Parts: sequence; structure tokens; C-alpha cells
Amino acid sequence: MSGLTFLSPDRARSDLGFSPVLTSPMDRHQREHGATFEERDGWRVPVSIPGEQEHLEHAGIADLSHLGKTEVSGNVPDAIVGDTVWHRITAVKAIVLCPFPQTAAVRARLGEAGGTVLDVTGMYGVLAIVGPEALTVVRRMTPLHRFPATGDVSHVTAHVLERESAYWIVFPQEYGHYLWEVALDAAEPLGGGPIGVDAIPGGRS
Amino acid sequence: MRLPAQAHERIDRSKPIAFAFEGRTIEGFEGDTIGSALFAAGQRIFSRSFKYHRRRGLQCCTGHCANCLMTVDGVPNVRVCTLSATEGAVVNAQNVLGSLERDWMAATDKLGKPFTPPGFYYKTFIRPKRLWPLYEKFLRNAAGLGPLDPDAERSQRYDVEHRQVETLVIGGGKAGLDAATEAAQRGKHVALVDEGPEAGGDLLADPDGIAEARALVDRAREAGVDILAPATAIGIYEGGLVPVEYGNLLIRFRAEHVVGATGTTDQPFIFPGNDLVGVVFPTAVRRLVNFWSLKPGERAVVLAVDDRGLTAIDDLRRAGVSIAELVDFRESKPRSISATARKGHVRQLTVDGKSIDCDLVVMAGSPQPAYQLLAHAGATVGYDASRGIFVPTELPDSVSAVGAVTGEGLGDVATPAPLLGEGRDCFVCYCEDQTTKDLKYAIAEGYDSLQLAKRYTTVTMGPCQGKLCHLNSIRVYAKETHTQEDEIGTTTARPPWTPVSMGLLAGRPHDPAKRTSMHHRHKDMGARVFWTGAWRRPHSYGADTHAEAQKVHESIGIIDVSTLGKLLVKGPDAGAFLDRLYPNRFSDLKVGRIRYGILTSDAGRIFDDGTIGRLSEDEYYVTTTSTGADGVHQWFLWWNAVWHMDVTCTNLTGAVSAINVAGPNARKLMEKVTDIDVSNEAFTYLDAKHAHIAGVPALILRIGFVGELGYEIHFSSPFGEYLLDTLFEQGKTWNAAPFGLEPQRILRLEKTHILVGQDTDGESNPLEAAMSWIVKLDKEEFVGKWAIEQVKDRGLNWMLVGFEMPNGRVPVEGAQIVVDGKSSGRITSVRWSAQLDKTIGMAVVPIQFAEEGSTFDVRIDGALEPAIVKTKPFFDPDGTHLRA
Amino acid sequence: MSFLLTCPYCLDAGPRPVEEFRCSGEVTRRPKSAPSVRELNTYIYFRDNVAGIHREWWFHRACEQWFLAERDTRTNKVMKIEVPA
Repeated sequence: MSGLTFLSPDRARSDLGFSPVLTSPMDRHQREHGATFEERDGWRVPVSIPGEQEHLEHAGIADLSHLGKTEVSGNVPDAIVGDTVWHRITAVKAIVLCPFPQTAAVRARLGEAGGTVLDVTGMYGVLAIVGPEALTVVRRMTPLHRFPATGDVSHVTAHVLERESAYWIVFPQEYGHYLWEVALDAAEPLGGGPIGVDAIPGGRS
Repeated sequence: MRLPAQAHERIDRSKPIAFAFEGRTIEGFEGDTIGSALFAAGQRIFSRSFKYHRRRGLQCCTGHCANCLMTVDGVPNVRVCTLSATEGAVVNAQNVLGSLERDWMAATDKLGKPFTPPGFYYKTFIRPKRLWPLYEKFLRNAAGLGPLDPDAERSQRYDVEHRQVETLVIGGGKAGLDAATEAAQRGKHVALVDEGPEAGGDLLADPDGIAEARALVDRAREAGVDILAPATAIGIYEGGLVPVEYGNLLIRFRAEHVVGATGTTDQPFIFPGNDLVGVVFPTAVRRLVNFWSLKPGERAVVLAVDDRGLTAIDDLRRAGVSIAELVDFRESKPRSISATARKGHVRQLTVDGKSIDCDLVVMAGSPQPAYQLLAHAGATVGYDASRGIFVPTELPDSVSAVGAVTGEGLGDVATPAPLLGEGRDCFVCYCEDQTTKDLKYAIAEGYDSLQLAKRYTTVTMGPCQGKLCHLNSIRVYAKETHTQEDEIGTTTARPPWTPVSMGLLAGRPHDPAKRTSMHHRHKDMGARVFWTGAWRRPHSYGADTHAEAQKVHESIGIIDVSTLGKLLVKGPDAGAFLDRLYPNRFSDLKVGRIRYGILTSDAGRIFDDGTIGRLSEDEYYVTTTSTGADGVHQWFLWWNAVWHMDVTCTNLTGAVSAINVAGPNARKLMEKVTDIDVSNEAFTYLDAKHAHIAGVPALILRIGFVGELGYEIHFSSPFGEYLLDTLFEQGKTWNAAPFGLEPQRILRLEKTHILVGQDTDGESNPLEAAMSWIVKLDKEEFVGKWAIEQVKDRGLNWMLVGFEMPNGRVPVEGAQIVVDGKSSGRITSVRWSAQLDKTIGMAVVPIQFAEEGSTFDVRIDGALEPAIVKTKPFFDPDGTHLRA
Repeated sequence: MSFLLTCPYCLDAGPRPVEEFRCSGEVTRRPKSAPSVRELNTYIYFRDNVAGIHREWWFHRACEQWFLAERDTRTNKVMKIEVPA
């Protein structure tokens, strides 16, 4: 019997007279940008932000921290059923991102495939950089150049994933406030800025 | 003032630009530099020299010399000959008292120079010593470049960008462009940077070469070469790192292969008056005439050792400058040359006794390969005596060189730019105002190696970075010491290749701070936030930290302890692994129970502490100090890289947030928010249990750091704001209040819990830190065991003890303990405790004072004050509150 | 210090900037059993500190793995990387 159930935010209960809500480490920034929030699957999600269409023409920065995140180590399977995004850090360690409601299923399938599974949803924040200037913003944050990759992102060790024309930075959540500031500061002179998650071309994730 | 429009000129006469210079409005055109627009407006004096305040004018027009340093929009030391003119810029002269034309400091040239050889200031202004501050103030104002405003904010934005290429070519002349094109055609990812206004190098200065240059650029671009200009490579560092200044962007190129195509730098002739306004390099002539359609002078003398002098003559003729004399060194080498001046402008040149009136002297001396960047990369450099230049000899694996920088095409028998005179006006180093006389003086004083003389005279240490003076200073040295140039060798070329603004190197002002998931709630509650390691944490929530601490004793205090390091140690060997790392045992810890532990190094030193809970048979939850998390994680991983035990260690510090609910009413609040039995019988001291707190899955540790009944709630970080809000809301009944780190420090001191790094240092071992109870020397092995055994064998010299100050005074932390008039130990922690109504603390004392009730003296403001040793916690010594 | 280093656990990532790593100094020989005071002090405090090639520990922050490298301390040229045996 594992003693790590407390690491899984999807085990929260709202039948005990309380309504737990999950917030992103960048939530305060979204509020300051005047974001419109919606509660989705237990998360407070910034769905739209004033000015996002103009920002998207250059570089839009979105908060995708509400994804489910799972670390699998040891016996890392080649694939599992489900809507997942993988980053294989080494032969024996990978991070798997998925829509939050699928986290439990992803954990189960990774475990069935023989991996050692750890719910790291709370460990990471995720910011997405999209738009024609997205790569320039990434280059102003990190020397990493082939993706996915793990390394220094503005003095923080983080994972950078490439998703079609978008870049996802998956970083230790305690740096959320800082990295949002850095990303925005890099995007602003290029005409970029914050966007809500519903403004990301091609859907939410 | 301009020449008639030329097809190839860089200026667009339909687009005027105006900027301010010394309060006047200067008009130029788009395509002008500040320097060319000023020259067009009749300005000839561009700066006053560093030491003697001599008039200096445009000399190279390539950004290499220091003659045109001005302050532009508040930024000092800008080379205006290459800075594009922009509308509304504010340009001012610097290092002048008065104006460029009438600088009162110029008296140093006439009066001071004969008396100001190298080392003059140090030798002269040392006596009387008390007057140095006065001297210093004067000297700082008298000598130097542009002033910095110490209160200035960032005046401009600078960004940093990373780029990765296979081949980076530095220098966009013909050789560089060809090399780049060739590499790109081989399928390489290639970038080329050039410090000129556009790639093309020397071709651009030639009206006939411009078309060729642009064709080469087009061909390179078609091949896929990324061409950046003006973009200056600052240096070549190991790993193929080449930082490039590209406007206000610093591009950090990483290249697998670097090609140096940096060409050559003009070298001055040395003769009296070689620094006068109007004494210029061919590059200045070529750019003034061909780039900006300006007439460099009226009557010119050209001194030439190769064909470049003849090319300059073509340009001069086209600009309508009459050629008074061509002195071609290949035909006959003059023995002496000297120039005379009127108000700093050259007026006459005397060549072997023949005086020629002129207002322009072109020095087409031998070009020196610009090998500096290659040398940064590790290239060796040797002297080529036949051509009188230094050339790169061996290059590192990942670096190559092409074109004139290799010495190629510079002619086989070119005559070295000669030394044609001596004396106080023969400038070797323009930037630092060093003449041949100064160098001879230094040699006479015994500075007979180039390295020493460089440091003594500062020759080559000015803003030109030695580009114009390195070779000539070696020549002067060779001549004066009767040695050969190759024996003298070169001084080390170091980055930057060219002066760089500090802002460019600094980049953006970001602090990589860690913040907990509840950070903004603390600020909403009025927390004063401060740095603790990389974390931003609440110091306190109000001015009265004692009252804040008392709320914990009275009812309920809540503190965010998310910064605690949290490691998951998992695997069949987990217990055995921890047994080998900690001085005490964990393999026998029962599931659901917690034990305190300290970590020791092989030297037996305490370097971290925390609690370890056993979550299941093979899972341990280890907490560390807030600043120790990464270090302890890496320490665990390192030992397992050596031991190869069946165990993994994961750092959960950020994944898990934690809140400590402490105080006599803490249980009541817990009952309200959780579904499990939290009675003292069901959930005892040092239990670890899983439960939902206000619906949030949590691990609850019943531990106490602040002396009262306490629960440490660990949960997935994104619930932070929600859970903190809910606990305060539910805790309203008992006036649950937040407390910061400072009140926590008072509370823990009441319990004499140590803070690692505060009450311990790099010398502390567990025995002398009064923790012999935790050390299980009967264990077969643990890290630090041998050293601790040796401490035990030698006997204890010190002890960490608690103490009270009967007179209520509060010494500073670190205060001395004095025994028989000697410093002997120190205070490690001390606070006033409102709960106990006295001053309490911890101290490292000599072992003879370790007994309960011993007294020792503490130095406070010079006086000795008594302190009494206490060996038990000050508050709740028997732990009845804690276990209630 | 801007040289590149390849992590044996992240071979696919290629040579990486040294900032991604932490160097933990030269490989030492830990006593097998209870050492004398002199032996322990030698192990804890004394290093060869060679101007040349030596073996040292490196930690790669990206994958959180320790490995060994042979590096020339004069040139920062890395001759060999290996997984600790």
C-alpha cells in the first residue's frame, strides 16, 4: 500500500462539506492581466485575457498549469492509450502530460506497463508560448535548441517541449511567478503578451 | 559641405535627421553616423585625450580608435563614428572642462607633460598621506573618460538571445563571405557576423567593390547563411561560445566551428604630432568620401608602405582634395617625419627636412592581422619578421582562419610602419596618452619586460584594447632594449574585442526567486517578505513579532512551511539506505511514525536536519531544512551512485506545500476540517497520517517545532491558496492568526531546537552540539561515524547550551563569550521571549561551562554581562504541551 | 567556464553547457574500515589538485544523475565520461 496518495490532487473530495479548488502558480499574474476565469475539472483556469488576439499575432503566453503531470521511471513504456504528451528525459525516466481528468487513468496504465509512477501534477507549472515570435521568446529564455529537452531556462532547470508551433515550458512550480515575468518580459518588446488558454490555436492543450 | 551625390553613398539625402550636440542642432541624413553628421557640420575636434586633454579628431571611422568617444543620450563612451544618427539624440562631449575647442584642462599638456611620466601620480601624491582624499578627488576629475551617474536607472533595454549554429563566421569581407557560402553549400547551418554597417568588408569602401560585395552577400544568403550586421563578436570562449553585440541584443552564439575572417587593423606611424587632428588612417578617408560623401580635407600628404595608400589617393582626388605629397616608403624610406599644428590641427608635415603645408595626413602603414579573437579561442601568435607583423600560427581544433587575418595577401616585403621620431609628442598609445618617451622612461626605471611595462605605463590598456598600440609598443621595446620583436612576444589578448556596455552584459533584471503556492496570500495579509536563500518568505505580519509569537501560545498560529525540503526515499533498501546516511536508525521506524534526524558528513559535521516519516514498508518521507533541500537531495543521490542500493530518491519540495497549525486550540480546528479521529489517543505525537483536510488529500505529521500542539499538513501545491483560506476561515472561532519566520524563531528558541547553520557551523559535530543521544555508534556504519568516534576519543572541548541573561539584556548573535579575558565561544541565537519574560539564547561554550547553572560572561558593547547555562528547553521542558 | 559536457544518461541531448551541471570535485578514495585520524583527515581534506587530467564527479541537473568524467583541468577538455560502477 503506497503512502503517496496525497500527491494526487485528483483525489480531492467535494463531498465533505468543502469545495477544494486548484490554482496555478501564475494565478496572481492572470488576475492582474484581467483574465476571465472558469472552474474546469477543479482548476481555476484563465480562459481569456484582454488583448490576447493582438498578442497572438506575435507571441502569446498562456498558463497551462492545469494539465495532469505524471512521472514514470524504471520501466518506461513506449506508449499508452490516452491523450498524452511525452518527454523522455533518459531511458529510465519520462514525464507524461495529459488532460487533468485523465491523470488517474494515465497513472494506472503506466503502472500496468511496469513503470514506477509518481503524480507530479503539483510539482510543475506549465506555460505555453505560441505565435510567430514564439521561438524568439524561447531563445531569449534558454540555450536549449532541440526539443523536447531539459536544461537551463532563465536560471531554472525546466523541460521545454515543442507542440506544433507552440513551446511548452514545464518548470518547478515555485518559480511560476518568476518565469511568467521573464516570459512576458521577453515577449513584450516583440509585441507579445498574455493569452487565455482558449485562445491557444488548436485547442486547449 | 557634402560632395555632389554619388551613386554608392550611404546617406539618403531625402531623409534629413536632426540631433543635439552640445546644445546645438546638427542636421544630417539617414545613413549618417553621429560622427559623419558632425564632420559634415564642420566639427573636427571629437574628443580630448585621456591625460593631456589634447585635441583629437576622427582617425579610423571604424570604431577601433578612442578618438570619438562621446556621451549619447546619457550613455558615456560611445564611439560616434559608427553609431547611426537618430532623430532627437542628445550628444555631448566628455572629459572636457569647458568645451572641445577650449578645454581648460589642456594646460596639463603644456605645463604638466614634461613632469608627468608613468607612475607620476603614485609617486607624487603619496605625501602627505592625509591629503590623498583631496588629491584623489581632483585626479578623478582630471583624468578619465565619460562620467557615470551613480543614481542612473537602466537607460536602455538590453536583451539576451541564444542561438546555435554549426559554423559561425566572424567578419564579412570577401574571405568571410566565401567561407560562409562554401560551408552553407556543404549543408551546414551557418551564421556570419560583421561589425561594419553591412557585410562586405573592405570591398564596401571601394566604389567599384560595392556591387561585388552585395553580390557576395546575396550569394551567401541564397546558400542559407544568416548574415547579421552591424554585429560585433565580443570574444570567443570555450565550447564555441561567441557573444555578439547586435544593437541592444546580446546574441550568445554556440558554434561547433568558428571561422575568424577578421581582416586587419591599420597601424599608426610614430612621429612627433602623430595624434593631431587631421592625421588619419586610410579607412577614415575611404569611409568619409565613399560612405557619406564628405571631403576629408583640402591638402593631403599620404604616407604609404603599400598600395592602400594609392587607393586612398584615388578617393581623395575624387573628393577634390589636392595631393601635396605622396611619400611612398617602397621608393625611399624617410628618416624623419614630424608634424606641426595650429590649435591641434595638423598644419605642416616635415619629411626629411622638407616642409609641406597640409591639413590632412593619411597614414597607410602596415596593416596588422586582427588576430585577437582567434587568440581568445587559444590560437598562438608569432612574429613574422619579414613583414613586421604578428600572425596567428596554430589554431585550436574547432577554429579556423581565412583571409587577411592569416597574413595572406599582405605582401611579402611590406615595410613595417616605421618609427620616425622620438620624444614627447610621439604617441604610441593614443587612448592612454603614452609616448615613446614614456616607454623609454619605464624601461630606464627597470620595467624591462613588456608585461611589466604594460601594467606600469598602461600602454595597450585603453579603450582601443591595444588594436592601435600593441604592435608599436613592441617595436619601441625591441628598439630600446636591442632585442627582436619575436623575443619580446605579445601580451595576452582577452575579451572583449571591443568595449561593451555593461547593460548589454547584464541583460534583463530578473531574480530567480522561489515562492510558495501561498505567497500572494501572505502579501495580501500584510506580510513583510524577505529573502531566505532562494525563497521569498514572510518575516512577520506586523511590527510586533512578540505578539505574533504569543498568538501561537494562546490559541492557534498558522505558518507556511512549504519551503521545507521534502524527499521521497523509496525502495526495498530505503530503511537500510537511511541507516547509512543518518547517525540514528530508521529501518526500525514503524509505518506511520516519525523520527527526527541530523545529517553528518564524513568529517562528522552536522549539515542538515529534519524529520523522517515512514509512509509504507518501502517509502520514507524525509524533510530537510529550507535551504538544504537541493543539497541533501544531491547528497542522497551521490551516495547511492556509490552504494548502488535498491532505492530511489525524488525531490518533492515544490510538489508539496505544507502548513503548520500550532497552538493549544489546533486540535479543535483539525477536528472541524478533517474526517479522521484527531484525538490525542488516535493521533499521537510523532504520528504521520493520511486524511482529507477540507477535501484536500493530505499527509499530516504531528510534530512541533514551536513548542505547542501542532500538525504539519502536507498536500499537493496547487491547493495552497484554497487550503490556507479555508483554515483561516474555519479557524476564525479561535482567532487563528498567521505567523512569520521571526516569531517562529522566538518560539523554537524557547524549545532550544537548533537551526542548522545558525546554531551550528562547519565545525559542529553532534556530540558537541549536545545531541549525543541521536548518535548510534553501535551501528555498523553511517556517514560520519569514524569522525564522531574520533571526537569521542579525543574528548569534548565545546558544548552547545541554552542560556538566560539575568539582567535582561539582549546581546547580538555572534557576540563573544569571554573567559579569563579571552574570547572563548560565542552566542549563536538570542531573543527576548515574551512568553518567558526573559532573554534566552543558545551558545557554544567551553566544555567546563556545559553544566546546568554555570555562569559565563558575554561581551555586550564592550562590557561583560553574566549569562546562566540552561541545559533543558526554556518552555515546556517536559513536553506536556507538545504531547497534550 | 563555458565548456560543454555530455551526460552519459542523456546521450541523445548531445553536449550541454556546463551550467547545467554541478562539479563535485575529484574522485577520492574512501577508507574501507575505521581509519586512523591521519587517514581520515587525508581522505577528507587532501586533494591531488592536478594540473592535467583527473577524474571527477559531476551531477546533471536535467536528469538528476551523477556521473564521472576525466577532464584536463588546464584546457577543460573532457576525455571520457562514465556511469559510476
